[in-house]
Amino acid sequence: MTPGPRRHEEPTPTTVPGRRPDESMTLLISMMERPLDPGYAAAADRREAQGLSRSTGTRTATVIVASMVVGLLLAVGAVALRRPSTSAQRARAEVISQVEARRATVDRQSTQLRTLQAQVDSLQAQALAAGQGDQTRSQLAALSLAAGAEPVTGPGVRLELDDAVDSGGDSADANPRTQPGEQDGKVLSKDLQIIVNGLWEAGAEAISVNGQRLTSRSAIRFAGEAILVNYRPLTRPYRIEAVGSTNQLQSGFAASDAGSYARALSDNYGIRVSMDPVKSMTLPAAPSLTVRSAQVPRPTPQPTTPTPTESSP
Amino acid sequence: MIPLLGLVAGVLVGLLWGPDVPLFLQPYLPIAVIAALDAVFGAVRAVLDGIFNDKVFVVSFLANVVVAAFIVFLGDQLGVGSQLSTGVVVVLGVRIFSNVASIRRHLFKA
Repeated sequence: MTPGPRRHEEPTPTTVPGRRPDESMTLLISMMERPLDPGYAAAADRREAQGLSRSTGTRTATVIVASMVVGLLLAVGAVALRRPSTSAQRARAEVISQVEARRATVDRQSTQLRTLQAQVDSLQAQALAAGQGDQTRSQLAALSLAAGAEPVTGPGVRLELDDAVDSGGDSADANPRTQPGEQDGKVLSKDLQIIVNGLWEAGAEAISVNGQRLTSRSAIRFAGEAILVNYRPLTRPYRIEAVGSTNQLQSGFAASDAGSYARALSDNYGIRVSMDPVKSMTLPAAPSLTVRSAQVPRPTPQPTTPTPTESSP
Repeated sequence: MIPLLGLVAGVLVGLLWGPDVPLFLQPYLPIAVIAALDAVFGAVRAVLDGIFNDKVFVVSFLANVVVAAFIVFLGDQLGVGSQLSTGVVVVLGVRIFSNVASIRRHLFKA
């Protein structure tokens, strides 16, 4: 059998003899007008010449086997061609569910950690109350507060940073940022670092970014497209909460380099920066302050809560 | 009617057994399916025309599948596999439509 169109010189059976007006389109004509395999007609003619009926009938074993093969092919094709997309989707869904499960595990364990930490703290307080001095207890409280091991509450300011409205749009041509590989109008880890440092400079006593308490072990860094604080990826908008004297924080931050940097961010790149005083807010404790290698130089063993020798504020 | 039963039996076997198609054969499957459909509709039309021949049917079916797969293979080697696949689908699709139109004329006289 000859599949598909074939240029053939003889006129098609249905055409009138002579030159056709659409003779130049023989390819299309042969495709449109002779869809049936000419082999059927030829075989029928042969059988007729042998004195048999033109058709062999459809009840022969060959036909049955062939139709079974066709059905098998159709079913296998349908099954096999549907599978790749679903398997890719399944793999993707599985990865997503794994990520979510791991994240949930981390959340669960960090809340567990916090409750255990609270237990440890209360037991510590009991032991200290039973034993000797108030001095150790107050020192411990002050140190763990400063280290970020305990949630803090107090007045402060809340800074919100968000990407520019049309980040990556027209602004790309209007004001390209000088550093390579940076996108316009997007909040970078550097912006957060500078602003957080400005807040410390202005006298902040405790800072958290999107609920991640900053401690002496915190890092604000970039990983791919996301900003990581305490190794947790953050989503915008970025909410920086700083506990401290509200007036002092506002005026000190506005006067500092970080303040002018924030203004430049909003003026030049359209990054939305807002700063609001808050009467009372609560910052969570840092999830993990475990220190493995560092040790306190004094010979007296300190209780489990680590007391960094140099606390952040 | 008997070929139809055979077709249904083949479909059932394929669905229940669900053989794993080797990865290197997967690009040819859609084309093979289209070619098989073309052969089937051609056969139905031949039956209605009264000129059906089992040998022609089997040979045309096998040749259709093999040639279509070969064209796609050749296109893959030449780097125009998707374009040639499209060409095969268009040609066979036109044939299927014409045959179905002819079958329709036979069955419904319209």
